[in-house]
Amino acid sequence: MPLLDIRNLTIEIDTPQGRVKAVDRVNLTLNEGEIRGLVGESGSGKSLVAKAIMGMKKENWRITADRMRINDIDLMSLSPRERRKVIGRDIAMIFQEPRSCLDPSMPIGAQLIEVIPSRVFEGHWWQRLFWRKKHAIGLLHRVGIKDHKKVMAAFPHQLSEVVCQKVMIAMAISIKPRLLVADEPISAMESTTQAQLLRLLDRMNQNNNTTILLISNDISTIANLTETITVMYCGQMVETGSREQLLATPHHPYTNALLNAIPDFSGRLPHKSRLNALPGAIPPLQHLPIGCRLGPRCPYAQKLCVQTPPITRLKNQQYSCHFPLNMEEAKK
Amino acid sequence: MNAEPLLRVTNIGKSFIERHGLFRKEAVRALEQISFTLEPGETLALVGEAGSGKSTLAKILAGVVAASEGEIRVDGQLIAPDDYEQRCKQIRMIFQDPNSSLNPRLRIGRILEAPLMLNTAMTPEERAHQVQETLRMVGLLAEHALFYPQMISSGQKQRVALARALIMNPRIIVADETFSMLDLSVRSQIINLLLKLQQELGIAYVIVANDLGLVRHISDKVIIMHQGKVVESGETQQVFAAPQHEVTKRLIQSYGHEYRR
Amino acid sequence: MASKAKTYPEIRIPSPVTQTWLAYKENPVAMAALWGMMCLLLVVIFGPSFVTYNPLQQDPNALLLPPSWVAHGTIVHFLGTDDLGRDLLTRLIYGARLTFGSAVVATLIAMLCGCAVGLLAGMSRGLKSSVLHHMLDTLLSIPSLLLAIVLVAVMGPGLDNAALAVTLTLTPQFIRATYNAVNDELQKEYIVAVRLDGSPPMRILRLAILPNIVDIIVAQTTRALSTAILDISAVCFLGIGAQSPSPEWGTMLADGMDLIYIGSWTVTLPGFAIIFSVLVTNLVGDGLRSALQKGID
Repeated sequence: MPLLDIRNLTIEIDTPQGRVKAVDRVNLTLNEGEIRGLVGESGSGKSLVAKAIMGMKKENWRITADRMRINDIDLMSLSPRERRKVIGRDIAMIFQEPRSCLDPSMPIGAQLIEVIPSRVFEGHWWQRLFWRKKHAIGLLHRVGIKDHKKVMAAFPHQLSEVVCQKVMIAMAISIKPRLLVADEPISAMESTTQAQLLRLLDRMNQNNNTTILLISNDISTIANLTETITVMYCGQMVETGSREQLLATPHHPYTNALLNAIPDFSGRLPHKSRLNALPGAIPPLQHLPIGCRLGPRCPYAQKLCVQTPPITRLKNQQYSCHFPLNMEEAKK
Repeated sequence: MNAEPLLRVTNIGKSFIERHGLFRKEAVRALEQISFTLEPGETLALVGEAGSGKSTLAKILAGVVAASEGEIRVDGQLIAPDDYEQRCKQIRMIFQDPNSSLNPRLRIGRILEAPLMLNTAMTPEERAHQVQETLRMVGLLAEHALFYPQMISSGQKQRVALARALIMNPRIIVADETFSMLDLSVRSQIINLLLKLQQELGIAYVIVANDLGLVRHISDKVIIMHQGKVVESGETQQVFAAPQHEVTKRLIQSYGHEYRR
Repeated sequence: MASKAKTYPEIRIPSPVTQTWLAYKENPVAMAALWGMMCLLLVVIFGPSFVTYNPLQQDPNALLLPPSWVAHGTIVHFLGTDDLGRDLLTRLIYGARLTFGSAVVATLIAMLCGCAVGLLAGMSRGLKSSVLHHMLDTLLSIPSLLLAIVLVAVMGPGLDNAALAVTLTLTPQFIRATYNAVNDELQKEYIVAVRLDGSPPMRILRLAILPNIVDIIVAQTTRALSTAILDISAVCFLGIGAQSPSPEWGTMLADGMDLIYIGSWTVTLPGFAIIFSVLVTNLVGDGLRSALQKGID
């Protein structure tokens, strides 16, 4: 039984130029205790997927899905009120810019205490005095903040970006979520702090068995934290597979391009040699190409690519491409 | 020392004066004295954590802020801090965010034309020609001159920003975190473009970057900074192969963390 | 470049002004308000040369005639007459020039002075900047109506003094708005970029700052214009602006107060005129502001 099961999620947005499919038939299945990477560039719809899961819907969106279940609760059939209740109990989310998510006029401690729900209280009634504060301190310790006194009394602008993100994570785990949606938690940070936060997420996963949906724009930074990776481009899912499969034998040209776009530290590429870049730019939502949306930029595109490629499954690795790369000869 | 290097920076430093209350002033050192040289066709990378002064150094080179002391020489010629006419023929800057560094009310042609109009005696036809040439050089079309910045994608905007730097045929281009805002596939396009231009025109780059993999790939020399001081500098390959200082070691270690592929 | 555009006729990129106009046209309410404002301006400029009566001409045979659509009304006096037999339509048309016209002039003068000082203050630094910026700040703390009353008390009643008082109260608001806008604009990276190109400050001001703060100035101007209309008519209503036989709308309103039970149209019609002009100004301002925003995005 998967924890989160989404089939054919489609998000349409009404724009002045008409209705556009910002997310087109995305499938996502997360098992309990898994860390899933959701990778894509801007405009790929990865954040929209996260928002659809959380139910953060805007007026001009139309969300449809064949199935969208958390555990055994069907989210699509719930009223917004019930849905909020389920989501508030089981899912937590952290965002890209932690400092702007915290109330600038309130000390961190008060904000943290405010989000702790009563249901997490364990103990006898006489222990109720100050239990929230003690609990908050415990949470801060768990996210690796040792100096809890200083942090609880501080305002968000007095803390560094990374500490703010840790506080956000503390808030997120305060409800003991079963699923943590992390929307580009490390994108705007430096590599030293990136490593710290990734380590923290890893520990959350291992100690509490929290399932994590980790959204990122850079596949190579998060690759080894995840077990499976889904790559999106322009609202379409292009490839899904386990980390090893995806890194070793990417079938979709886009995955391949992402993996080779940026030189890594090993110095495998000759110094100052040209990088492997896709031509062209990401198309705006109003002017998406028909068929495979990568088509106009794809170096291997052929005539057939004006038809939307079906999702093909091969040894647990799904891809949607007519002319996949890295295929073994045995395949017809 | 036979010939004068392209860029010679001698003892550049910067301190800000911070006011506390009405009378108390405190000088804050943002950048300790630093010197280096750069040859044509070379790339110098400035690396460090936030607040290490690498951005300040880049801004001093480009003339955005004036240095408190020290001097900058290009081809042996002293560049005065407020002499924009001379400076912009030699050193040009690409900003971090292409979305905010182009005036939304002017056509791209006008934006690119401005430095030519102010600093050269070209006729309008020559300027238009130069604008078209430069747009082609960065992989855009001549028609893009008629567009307004908000009509093109951010990758194209970054190309326009690059065109604005190139249009004066500078010897040195300073790029302050130019790549981190861009999407991955566009980022590698821009890097390829920079490498190509360097090969063809022999421009020297000073880049500020966070991504050590990228730095290793495109730079010849590197300066590692920490709290306004240079902690290590030298040939990129040597520094990264055998880091000497703690800060460098830490940077490399945290870059190649266990979750990176 | 121009030749290129001719070779490819499909490449036609609208300038921000055209785009603003296109966005403005989309908004029907704003368009209606724009038509209303144009009518008002036409009346202000050409109205008096088309009317047959004199606004001060009294007709003892046509006292307190109701508007033409009421039972006893005549088409000769379309909107009726007041208690001295003066034609109301004529008076309202002349009044448009006095109320709306003087409000426009007062706002324009305030805008020119205020923006000039605001720009100077924004472009300079240190003591000079703050002296310029805070020059008229004391005026901001006094309610405009009170200031007008004080000024009129010193200089004697009259429409010109009332308009001058309104100009004085509006100027600091313009200084404030322009100064803040320029300051915000100077933080932008593209300003740094043109500075590195070697632009002299005046050129930065003309090409980079002014076009980008136009929407703020427009917003401030429309706000100021509606304030000006209201203030001028209020001062005149209190009897310290334009004096009694003058067909200023506020004065007419005050004159008609005694007649409200026997000839209510002498009060309601000038009142409607004031409401109409304020409403139209505000709607045009709102439409313009949102259209200017759309122009950049």
